[in-house]
Amino acid sequence: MKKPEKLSLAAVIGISLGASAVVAFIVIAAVEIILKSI
Amino acid sequence: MKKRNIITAVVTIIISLPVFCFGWLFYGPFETARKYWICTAMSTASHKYLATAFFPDSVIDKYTDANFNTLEKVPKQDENRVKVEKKSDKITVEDVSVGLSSGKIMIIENPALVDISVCDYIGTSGLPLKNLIIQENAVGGINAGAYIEKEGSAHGSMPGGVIIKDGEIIYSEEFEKEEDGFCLIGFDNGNILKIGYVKTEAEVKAYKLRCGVSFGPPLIINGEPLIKAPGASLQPRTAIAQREDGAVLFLVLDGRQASSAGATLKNVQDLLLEYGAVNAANLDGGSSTSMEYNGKLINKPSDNGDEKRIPSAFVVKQGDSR
Repeated sequence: MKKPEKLSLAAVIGISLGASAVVAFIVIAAVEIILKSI
Repeated sequence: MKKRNIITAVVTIIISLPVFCFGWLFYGPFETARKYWICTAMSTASHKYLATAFFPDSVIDKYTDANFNTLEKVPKQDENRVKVEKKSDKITVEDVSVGLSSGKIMIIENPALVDISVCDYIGTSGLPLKNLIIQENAVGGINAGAYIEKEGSAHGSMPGGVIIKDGEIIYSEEFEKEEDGFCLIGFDNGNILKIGYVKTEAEVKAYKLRCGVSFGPPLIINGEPLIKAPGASLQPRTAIAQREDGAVLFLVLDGRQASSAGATLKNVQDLLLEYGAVNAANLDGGSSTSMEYNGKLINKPSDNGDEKRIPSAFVVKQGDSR
């Protein structure tokens, strides 16, 4: 069986930054919707 | 996945998530959230840097001009609108919520029980609400008037505006300091809540108040709501109001907490109208917002739940003490 390739440190940081950006967008979008509704 | 990769990912997310949140908030397509952030920061006494550090004046002015200029000309109070009826000394406390905030309302059937407690150490130190209530042998109360943050003086030790107690002006700032004068909030000898702007000592005396402080703005006069715009400043709020039958309403709405973000002035006004207020005014808010009843703090002040030192409080005295 082929051994899975190791992720480089740069790739891990890049994926984490991307995930953070998406999560932050969702959080602020939720805040925006809540504030618009009051 | 290697352990090292997991640690790297967690650390990266912990560091970058707040940065991205603020990035989206400040520079993303979220106009409403940005407006609330700026207006809330700019309406505090000591946290304006949360807006000024990130936005140029032109952006701050754009949002605040649109949201602060909400006050119409304050009408003259109708002397006959409130008829104080002789009634019981009943005091009730209820949970309330409006918008994104929750808090307490105290309904005092007999307005004669309401008085002002003023810190005995003006110029030296303010006092927590608890002490101001004990000082007057009262059963409950809320924070009341303005204070000035002055370098070298203890917190809450320097009141703002005017304080009247037992019919005497016991403290007054220079009237020239405020272009529009001070908003006076207090009770006359007929136990009617009087609210209005004063620019001279003579104007203060003309109100013939037995007790009063300064803050504002007025929220409701003669049953008419004065705050027209929705506003975008979410803060802990304290307000005082009177119903047509003379009953006095003390209101506190908590803020700056996950469970209660804070209220706009319009939220406060709407809630007081629901409770039948015909005259109402905003009092000092922010971390000063506190309410005590029967020796217990019954709201959650934003400063780690602790009562801030303040110069004055509206208190409600024991039934047979007036």
